[in-house]
Amino acid sequence: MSGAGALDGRTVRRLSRAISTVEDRADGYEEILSGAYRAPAKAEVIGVTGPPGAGKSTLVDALTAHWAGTGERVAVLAVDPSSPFSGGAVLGDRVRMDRSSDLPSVYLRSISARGEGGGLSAAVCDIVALLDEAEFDRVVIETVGAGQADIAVADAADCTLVVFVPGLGDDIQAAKAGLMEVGDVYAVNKGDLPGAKATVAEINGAIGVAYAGTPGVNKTTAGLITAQPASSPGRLAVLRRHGDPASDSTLWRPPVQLVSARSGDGVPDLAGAVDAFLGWCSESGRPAQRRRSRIRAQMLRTLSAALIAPYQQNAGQAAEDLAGSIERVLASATSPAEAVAELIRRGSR
Amino acid sequence: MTRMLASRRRDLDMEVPDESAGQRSGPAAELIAEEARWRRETFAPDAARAERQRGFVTDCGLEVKPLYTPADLDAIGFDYTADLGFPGEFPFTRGDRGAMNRGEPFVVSAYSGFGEAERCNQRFRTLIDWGAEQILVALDLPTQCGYDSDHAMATAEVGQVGVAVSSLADMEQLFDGIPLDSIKRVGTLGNSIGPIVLALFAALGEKQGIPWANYVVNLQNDPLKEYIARGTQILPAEPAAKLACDAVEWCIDNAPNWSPMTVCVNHINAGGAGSSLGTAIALANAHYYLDDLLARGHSIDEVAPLLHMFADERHDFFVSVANLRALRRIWARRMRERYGATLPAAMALRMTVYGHGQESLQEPLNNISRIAFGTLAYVLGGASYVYIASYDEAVSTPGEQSLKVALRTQQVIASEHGFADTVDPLGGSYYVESLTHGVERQILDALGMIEEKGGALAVIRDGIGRRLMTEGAVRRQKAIDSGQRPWVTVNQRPQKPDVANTAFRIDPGAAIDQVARLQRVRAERDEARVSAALAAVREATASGANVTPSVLEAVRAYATVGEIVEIWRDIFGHFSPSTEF
Amino acid sequence: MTLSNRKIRVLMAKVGLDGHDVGARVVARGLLEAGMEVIYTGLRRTPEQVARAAVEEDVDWIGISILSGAHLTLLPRLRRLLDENGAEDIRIMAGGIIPQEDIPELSKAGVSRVFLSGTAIAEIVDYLMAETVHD
Ligand code: B12
Ligand SMILES: Nc1nc2c(ncn2[C@@H]2O[C@H](COP(=O)(O)OP(=O)(O)OP(=O)(O)O)[C@@H](O)[C@H]2O)c(=O)[nH]1
Ligand SMILES: [Mg+2]
Repeated sequence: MSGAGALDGRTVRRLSRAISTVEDRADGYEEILSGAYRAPAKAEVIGVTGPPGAGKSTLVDALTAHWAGTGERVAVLAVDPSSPFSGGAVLGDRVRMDRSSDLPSVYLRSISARGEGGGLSAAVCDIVALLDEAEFDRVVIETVGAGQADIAVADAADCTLVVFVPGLGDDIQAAKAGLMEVGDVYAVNKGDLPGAKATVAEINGAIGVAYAGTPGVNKTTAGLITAQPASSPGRLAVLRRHGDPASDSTLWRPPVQLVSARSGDGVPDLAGAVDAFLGWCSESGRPAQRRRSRIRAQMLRTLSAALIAPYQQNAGQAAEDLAGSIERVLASATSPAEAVAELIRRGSR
Repeated sequence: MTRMLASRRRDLDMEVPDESAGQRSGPAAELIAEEARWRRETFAPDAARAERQRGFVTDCGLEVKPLYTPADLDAIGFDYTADLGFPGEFPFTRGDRGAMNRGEPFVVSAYSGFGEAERCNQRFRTLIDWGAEQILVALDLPTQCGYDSDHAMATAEVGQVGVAVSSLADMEQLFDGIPLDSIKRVGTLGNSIGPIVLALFAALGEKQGIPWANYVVNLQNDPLKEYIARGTQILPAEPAAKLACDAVEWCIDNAPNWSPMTVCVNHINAGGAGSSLGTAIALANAHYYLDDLLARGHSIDEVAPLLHMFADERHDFFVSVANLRALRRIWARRMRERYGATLPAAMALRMTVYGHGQESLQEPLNNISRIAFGTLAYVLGGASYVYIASYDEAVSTPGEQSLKVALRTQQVIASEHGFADTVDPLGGSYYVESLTHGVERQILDALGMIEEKGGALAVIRDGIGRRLMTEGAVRRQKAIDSGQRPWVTVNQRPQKPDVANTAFRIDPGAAIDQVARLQRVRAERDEARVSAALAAVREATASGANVTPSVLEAVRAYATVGEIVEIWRDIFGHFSPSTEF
Repeated sequence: MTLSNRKIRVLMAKVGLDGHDVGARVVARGLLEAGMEVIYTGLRRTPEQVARAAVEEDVDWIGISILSGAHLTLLPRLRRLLDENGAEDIRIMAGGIIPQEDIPELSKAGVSRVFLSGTAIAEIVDYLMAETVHD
């Protein structure tokens, strides 16, 4: 199977079932993943996040059609929230994927967050491994769209695209709070609406607080070093992701692109900005670092799920221990923290 | 919004009499105290024996008291002259015309269409023979969505739920032997293709040699509600609304006696909104169209008489009556206060209604009584143009037998039982006036909320319309599933649907004949004239001019619906579907 | 150790030009409240698009809400497309306005179940719970 070109029906069927098995943690999922993680990780993972209704799905559709048009094989993972009461979900992002969903080299999958916070689902990184194995060139992940909480994607993606829109008013301040720290590229969507240019300027201004230089790649110079305020929030993360003047010869300043996902205006430039970032990353030796952080996040998630699992069963030693601890906290004999420490001690024996 | 309705509900609750009513003075206070006593001593013991266990809340969210008295009118500050006045006079609460049904009764109408023009023509003749005074052509979905009958998207749907009309030739066939001036009104919905259906009826009059002044064309031509409620949208909402207003504007100059736009509550309520919110959304749409037309330099006195509304409340008889009365009052005040209308015709709202109830698939003959009651409510509320569901509503599009019952039901209501003998017979009822007031407040609150969010386009764009409609639809479904809203033969004395209720079937030959006629038209028409006319449509569309004159010319040349719409799709692009669920 | 968390997945689709969506919306909500995952396609899909989406989404069921009278053409075509793509096990259920006398023909064409006007949501949920097999 070559990296580009159409997907055949049977392959898609197999891939889709494997994704379900992995999502459900159903029988055989470990085996599937042990194969998947042994395949070389080649796909570029693009995370798309932003406030609800910003046009993420519409933009993902446009970008996907663009990349597919250049001969790439593209997978889209569209994550939507699940109901905290029933655990069910209605996943509607597909409705907006008209331009890409019919293309032969595109695969589109809707994913429920299944209670996971942070805008992704627990299985997303595992699913990316499956898509790597299926030789996709690119994976585009749309997050839930809950606003500032949607930052898990920064760990999962090689490039994080943050989407804003004009006219969010006060909401933009709230949304910006978290999202301004995770973007590698920013897009102001709905460029056809009034106020879009002003929003571009506003976001550029906010970026200017933490970054010097011009949007895109900058040569590290004395001027740039001093322009970095030492106390800016998330500075360490920024140094790691966008270059440390102390050790890197070039630095990345996130560009802000004006687009209209609906009309397609500005989409090629936005795709270009994403690719420029990926290009800079690989020149400055960052992909491995990015992947390390993705694996770390997935390991932590898997670890916590595995540790909790025995306690969530209805029967067994762990469940009995937990029930006992609950009674002791109830009887004011201990605190939850002490009880958990005790459980961990007992579990590791 | 929901919160606002809830607080309204609480307001009404507070009008329930209690012992603290002593703050009021005079006879009202005495009455309130008396009612409280009655409730305790006479009502409660009786109700305790058997009061039904459902909540007494209307579908639109108003609480219903066990009894209404003059104290309820007092509580709403009821003022006969200001709130009601006289029929045909401001604020038109009691009727848009002076004599209402005692003069010329409501127009008995039929909404019908199936297959292709030749077969459907026979049905129209039959309906007119049975007494239909207005024929509203039900178009098939391909036509309504701007596809010719031979387009790939039309597969399996040509003539299914309406008649296929691809060109003027189909219209000529459809009205063969039916001169347009031989019935009171004629029209269709054509929401997303307004200027085209207008042009088709205008050109048909020319073909029949009947001047535009001598017949009345009635169109729905209300594209904005398609995006949230009805589903035949083609273009983005703004250009669609602009094109609809083009059709209205053309009528101002060429056919001021026509009725080129019907702003609809019906579909929004059917989609789940509830009648008060549905009415508010429809009013926001009406404002949008009016503002567009006024911005073109027309006066409100010129424009408003050409619009009317399609009211709707299908669950509660008395709310139907109240809704129509409240809507007329709101309209009159808005036309006068907001736009400075001076002519009565610009303030008196005429209304179309579609009479029905909660039709069941189970034992469909029972639907005859449901539909009759629903229709009666509209007639008592003062509707002008009435068409009604058929008893096989939940089975298929109607067959001839059930259409005949539908027409006869209207005729019975118009002439028997004395229903139509006095104007606004329920006016002054403690209950109906309280409801009219409550519904009016719900509508105005919801309209205020919508206007705050940015009006008609915001309802579509921000998904608020869809969100509230889904909540409403789910609430209705739950009320039925739990038995809270009774439905005889479904959740009361449940019955299985009976296979014997066979569906009206479309002859498969219809689609074949339709495509054949379309291809014949394409082969025989003057191609040079068609291309020139379509080029003119393109130019008018691109320039922002009124498209109707060029569309009329194209239609005369037998350009097809699909060819014209294709130009619009090309220039304006595609609508953006709603993900709100 | 098993962490399995099997979810019933349903693709809720509208095919053809049919704009009636109240049934699709209330059924989707009911399935969500029963803990299922519902993928909604939006209006005006072709059977080809629905079949492809069903395979990509690996659903257990396709739910078609259809009130346009085109069911005898569109539903059998959808079934054929699924079968041709190795998705014989994805089942189809339908609801809306479907004449009862058409149900035998639809069953023969591989539609598992038709729900008519007046169906309680609980009946649909119970059916899916009972009928869904995860291998
Ligand atoms: C409400 C309604 C409308 C509303 C729709 C609003 C909306 N957004 O959905 C409005 C007013 C807009 C409308 C318009 C039209 N309508 Co209409 N409409 C109805 C009506 C009265 C009720 C449908 C409804 O919503 N019921 C409530 C829901 C909850 O019930 P339901 O859909 O049946 O769903 C239940 C079950 O069927 C089942 N179910 C449904 N879908 C699914 C899916 C799955 C997976 C499952 C498991 C179960 C399931 O579960 C649900 C819960 O019980 C019916 C008649 C009737 N009584 O059914 C006519 C009806 C469906 N309409 C009809 C027609 C013809 C039209 C038009 C095409 C008319 C025209 N020519 O212009 C237009 C255009 C619409 C379009 N774009 O397609 C015809 C269809 C005829 C046919 N198929 O033979 C009907 C039957 C009326 C008639 N007798 O003529 N309509
Ligand atoms: N005017 C304009 N509207 C757009 C544009 N892109 C998207 N929209 C509209 O914005 C609305 C939301 O778009 P979506 O793509 O669903 O947004 P989203 O961010 O994915 O939304 P959620 O997934 O619900 O958070 C829709 O009505 C789109 O049509 C654009 O470029 N211009
Ligand atoms: Mg989205």
